[in-house]
Amino acid sequence: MNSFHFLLLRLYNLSLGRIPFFSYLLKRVMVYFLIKSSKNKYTASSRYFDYKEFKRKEAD
Amino acid sequence: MKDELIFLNIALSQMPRILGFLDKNPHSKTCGCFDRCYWHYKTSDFSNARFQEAVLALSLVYFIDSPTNHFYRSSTIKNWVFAGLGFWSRARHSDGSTDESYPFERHFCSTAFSCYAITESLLLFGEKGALALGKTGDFLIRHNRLDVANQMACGALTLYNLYELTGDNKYHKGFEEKLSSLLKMQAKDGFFMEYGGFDAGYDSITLSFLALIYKKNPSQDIEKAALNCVKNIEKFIDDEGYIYPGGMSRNTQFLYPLGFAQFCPDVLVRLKRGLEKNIILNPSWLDDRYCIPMICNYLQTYIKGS
Repeated sequence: MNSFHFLLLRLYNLSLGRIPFFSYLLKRVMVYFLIKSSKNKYTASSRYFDYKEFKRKEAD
Repeated sequence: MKDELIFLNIALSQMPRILGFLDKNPHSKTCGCFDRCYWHYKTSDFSNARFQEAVLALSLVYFIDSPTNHFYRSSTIKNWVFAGLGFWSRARHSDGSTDESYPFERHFCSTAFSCYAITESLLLFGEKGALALGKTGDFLIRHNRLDVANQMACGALTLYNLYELTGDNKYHKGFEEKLSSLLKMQAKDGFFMEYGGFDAGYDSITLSFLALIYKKNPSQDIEKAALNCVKNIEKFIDDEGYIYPGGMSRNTQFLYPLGFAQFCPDVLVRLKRGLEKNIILNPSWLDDRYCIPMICNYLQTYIKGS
């Protein structure tokens, strides 16, 4: 998201978004793009690190 | 060392961090708010209700009697709990809902999770009439998230808590409806639907809420559903509590332990092994927003085992 997108989001939130129907509509759109269709899932531990990458290799 | 002490120790190590989130100034309009980006840095234009779940973490540590817990029966902690409850109450919309990601969101998830923390805290302190929760309860009854099991599980438990607080049967009916919908969301393989698929991390959250519901309202249906869920998840968890997130619907790497403490102690042992070596995701690794509910779960796991 860039600043322009964020401004558009906020304008929507503060205008049409005050009406529950339009707020839920936005939610459905965001869920679709951020969660359902995105490869990079919008969750706390998504795009995290894997601790196993730091495991020392056994000495030969 | 008592086995579940590791959960308490990890949770307590994060308590100073959580306390740092709180606006403690009694003269401030945002007194009781745990969303520091909102009340202090002002980089956010609304307060995320999920941060108010910290109220439950404070409430739990208030009642845990352990030599390592400096917060036991602290009057300061109690005051801060009620400040947090008050802010949550004031920050709601007129329909009782709350926001998590943007203003006027009226989000089922943040309403259910934050209201659960609020109602559980009120039950712990025995303050049944402290807050007006009717509108929030009615909002939760009216709305559903039939594609996200963990949110439905939380909604069900919150409605049960509201029933315990108010004695109003409509909340018990709402709880039964939510629970029935939740159990229908279980796939044949045992996992609960999370946006159309299986995710071990969010299943562990659902399992935790099932454990809490089972404790308050035991039933064979809940136990059977939970055991089926556990039977599926535990195949994906290695001996040190690690799960590979690839291929899951939400790509989570965390596991909430409470459900396993109730329904599959063997997995709890695996988690403890990983935590002792600090090689699996735990609250100390998570960002400010998500460490709070996991800390509450760790505290509840300790309480369950003590």
